[in-house]
Formats: sequence, C-alpha cells, structure tokens
Amino acid sequence: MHLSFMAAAFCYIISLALMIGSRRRASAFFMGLGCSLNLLSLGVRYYGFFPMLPLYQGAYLIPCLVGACCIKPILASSGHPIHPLMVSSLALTALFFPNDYYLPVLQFKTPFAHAFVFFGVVGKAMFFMAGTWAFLALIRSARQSRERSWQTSETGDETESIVKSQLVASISTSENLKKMGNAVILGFFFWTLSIFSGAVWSYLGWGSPVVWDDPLMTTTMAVWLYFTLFLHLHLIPTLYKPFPRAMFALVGSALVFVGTLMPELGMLRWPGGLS
Amino acid sequence: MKAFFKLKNIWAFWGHINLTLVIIALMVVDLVAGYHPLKHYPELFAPINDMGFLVWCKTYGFNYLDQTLWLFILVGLLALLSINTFVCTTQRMGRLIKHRRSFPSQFQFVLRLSPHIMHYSMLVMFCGYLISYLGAGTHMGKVLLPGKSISLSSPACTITLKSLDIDYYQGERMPHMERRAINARAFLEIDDGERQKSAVLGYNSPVYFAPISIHLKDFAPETKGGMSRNKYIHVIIKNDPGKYYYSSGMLFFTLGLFMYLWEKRIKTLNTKHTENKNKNYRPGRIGHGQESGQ
Repeated sequence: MHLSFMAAAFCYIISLALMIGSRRRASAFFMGLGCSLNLLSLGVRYYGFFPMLPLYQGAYLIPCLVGACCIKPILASSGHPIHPLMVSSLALTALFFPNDYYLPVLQFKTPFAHAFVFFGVVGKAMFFMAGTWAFLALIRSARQSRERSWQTSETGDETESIVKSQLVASISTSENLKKMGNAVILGFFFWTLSIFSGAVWSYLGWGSPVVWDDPLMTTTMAVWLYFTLFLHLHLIPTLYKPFPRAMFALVGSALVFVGTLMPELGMLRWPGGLS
Repeated sequence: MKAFFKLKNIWAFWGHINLTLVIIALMVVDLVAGYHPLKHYPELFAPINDMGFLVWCKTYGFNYLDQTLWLFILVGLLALLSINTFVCTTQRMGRLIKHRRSFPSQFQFVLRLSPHIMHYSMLVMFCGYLISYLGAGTHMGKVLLPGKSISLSSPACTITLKSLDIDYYQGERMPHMERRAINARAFLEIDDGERQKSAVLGYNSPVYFAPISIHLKDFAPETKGGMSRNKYIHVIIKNDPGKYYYSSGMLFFTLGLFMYLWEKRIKTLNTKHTENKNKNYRPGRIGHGQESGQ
C-alpha cells in the first residue's frame, strides 16, 4: 500500500518535469495515473486494516484531490508548473512524514464520522487549489507590471501592441482570481459541512457538539473564520483588489497547511522504511 | 432628535464591516494561540462539557488563567461578533427588502438572502451553545450492570440495563484484533412513572427520553475470554436544552450555504451567457440576436 503511494508521488514528480518541459498532455496523463495510484493506496489501506480505521489520512488523500483538480488546467492554457509542483510537494510531505494511526471502528459507527473526515479533506484540497491560483495571479500580475514598466521605458509611450498584451495579461490574472474565488467558496462549503458533521458525530457519541480535548478544534475554527473573512472582502473596497485578495488566499492556504495539516503529520521517516 | 442620531451612530458602528474585520482577525489570532494550551493541558478543558461553563470558570478557568485566558477572550469576541453580525445583517436585509422589486425574479431575490440566512442561523447556533453551556445538566460516571437499575433525581426516572450484547472480531486478516469487541448493543428500559420506553443503546446511537439523552461512553469486557470481567456499560446522561437551537442553526446554515452556491452558479451562467453573446456579436451581421432585436 505504501509502495502504491510512493509510485503515485513518483508520477506527480514526472508530471511536474513534463510540465516544465511544456508537454501538457503527457503531464496530465502522469497526473491522472498518480491520482489513480494514490486512490488505490488509500483503498488498500482501508481494506487491509478494517475493522481498524486509519485516521490522519488527509495528508494522503489531499494530493489526489488537488491532482484531480489540476488535470483540466494542465491540459488547458491556464496550467502552470506550479500545479504539479503543489501536488508533488503535498505528496512528498505525506511520504516523508507518515502518520499511520489506527482506531477501532467502534467510535466511527456513524456516517457523520466519515463525512467529517472526507469533507474536511476536500475543504483543505480546495483551499490549497485557491492558494495555487492566488500564487499564479500574483506572479502574472507581477510579470505584467514588470513588462509594462520595461516597455514604457523602451518606447516612451504605450503603443497599441503593448496595450493589447497588457489586456491579455490582465484577463489571465482576473481568470486566476475568479478560479481562486471559486475554490475558496467550495473550500468554505466543504469545511463548514465537515465542522457540522463533526459536531453531530460528537453529539451522538459524547452528548456535546464540541470535544474539548482536541487542539485541532481551535485551528479548524481559525481557518473557518479566516475564510469567512475572505468571503466578506467584497464589502471592504480597500481590500477587494487583486493583490490583497490573492495575498489573503495565499496566506490562508499557508494557515491551512500549518494549522490543520502539519499537526496530522508524523515524524520524519525515510520512505523506504515504510514498505 | 440628538438622541436619535446618537442611537443611529451607535447602530452604524456596531454594524460596520471594519469592525467585523477586526473582530474576526483577533479571533483567528486567539484561536491559533489557544492551540498550544489545548494540546498540552487537555485536562483543564475536558471538564467543560461535564460541569458547564460557569462552574468550570470558577474552578479550572480562573485558577489556571495562564492556560485558559484565550478561551475567555474568545467568548468575549464571540459576543462582540454576535452583536456585529446581527446589526450588520439586519441593516443589509432591510436594504434588500426595500429593493426587492429590482430583482429579475422572486427566486433570485430569495437566493440573494442566503448570506443573511447563514448569519441569522449562526446567531441561533451561538444561542444554542450558550444555553447548552449555561443550562445543560450532565450525569457523569453512571455505570449500569445487566439487570440492575439506576435512578435519576432530575428528571425523576429509572434506567435499567436489561442485557448487553457484544460482537467480537472473528476474522483472520487482523490477528491482533482477534477477540476484540467491534460492536455493542445495550438494551435499556426507562421508566419515569408515566412513560416507559425500551430502546437499544450503542456507540454513536444514543437513546432519547425527553428531556434527557443517554450516550454510551464505554463498556466491558472489550475483549473476549482472558481475565473474566463483569459486563457493564458506562453512560453519559445529558439534559441539554440548547441542542434544539444549535441543531436547527446548523440545518439552516447548511440550507443558506446551498442557496449561496446556487446563487453563485446562476451568476456564473449569466456571465458566461453574456460573454458568449458578446463573442457572437459582429456589427453588420443581421440575424444574430442583438441586430435583429430578438
């Protein structure tokens, strides 16, 4: 099962290399293959250990979900090596910091327990996608402003072709921002569903919607509030601009990584020792 | 008149979006700061559910202020956020209702209300948590043996464990799971003099007997054979009047969330439709929508 995950991580890295070489189709193929192997490794893990349930599988499932979301942009013109780079980094993180912690199925005897885990992972994946689009929007707008200053200094004024190229660049930035916004909305949707499922599970199991001995509860709520604020940015004119919005989403995905993914990771271990 | 304007200013201050920004930013920082105490001192926070917030404050809360301060700050910020959310969403809702005729359809107007449905639901949820933490009663450490009863004083009732069925793992794939329990069913009988109820209690499957709910916390024996141990169940008995509020809050928040996604979908489709229309527009080409006036 660990071998299949290692193979998946390898496919993601090949996909990254092919994307750097501008071979989009081959890159998308390896990304798809990686996602399939990644899913297989999770399936095998669940099947192999039942009736014990593997907790902390988020780190393994997230690269698969982010990878699946990246296939379309990789094939289209909106793709960038940052997409497979994000997936590869997430897969390598899970590979080098494994956390195989298993619990008896007894306390998971409700669909809400599984919904809590699954929706949470989808939410995280969406927030990472938002971070990717935000990063792309930032680098494209930085490139755009650099080109603009260079061309203006070269020619002395803004000719028609310069204006045209700037228009194309700004459209591409706004497309990225639109995708970033959509990813945040979806992430917020699944994150909220995960929190509510967790509350229902906690109520059914322990009679209270909040379990006060899980420190992840605080960072989960912090992430939820952070993206709540993001969704209110359109009401604050000074912050509802491409740069602050993209920065906000980028910091948000860093918060998701540090606050909710890192605590679920294990100690550094060499992948070969896993099999 | 002066007092009216003063009130209006106060109302506007509490509903201002910049206040939301500050409160939420502080909450994020406070929650992140709360991670450390909750991770290293869980024993200080775990009793909140059992003893209620007020009793917890008087005991653990004030005595270990270094570790619990973040929670008091969080409660204060939650109170501020509730006021801010109520005022802000009421202001905006009023404006929306005033301009409801400008929406293309009644349905789109209803969808536009989705953020406000979420805001009000969040307030109902907060009220539920408040009621729960201030007014819930918990009977902890109740152990039931097969054939034996326990009596509760508030509400007055008797709970009898008729029998306890435990399923043990019998597969061969997982040797270390052999003889370990994978399911438990406790057959209960509850009687308060007027009503009688027989029900099956299990993990994540509580028994309700208004106004209480009974949750299975633990049971024995968890392994078959070996050292012989008596059968028993350990239950949590809750009387939580807040559960109706926070559960309905969650339900309506989810409804609002779906409506919000739906509204976004309609907006995206409309934008795409307009873009396609603009793409197809060629001056002088009669027959295409814009020129022919279709």
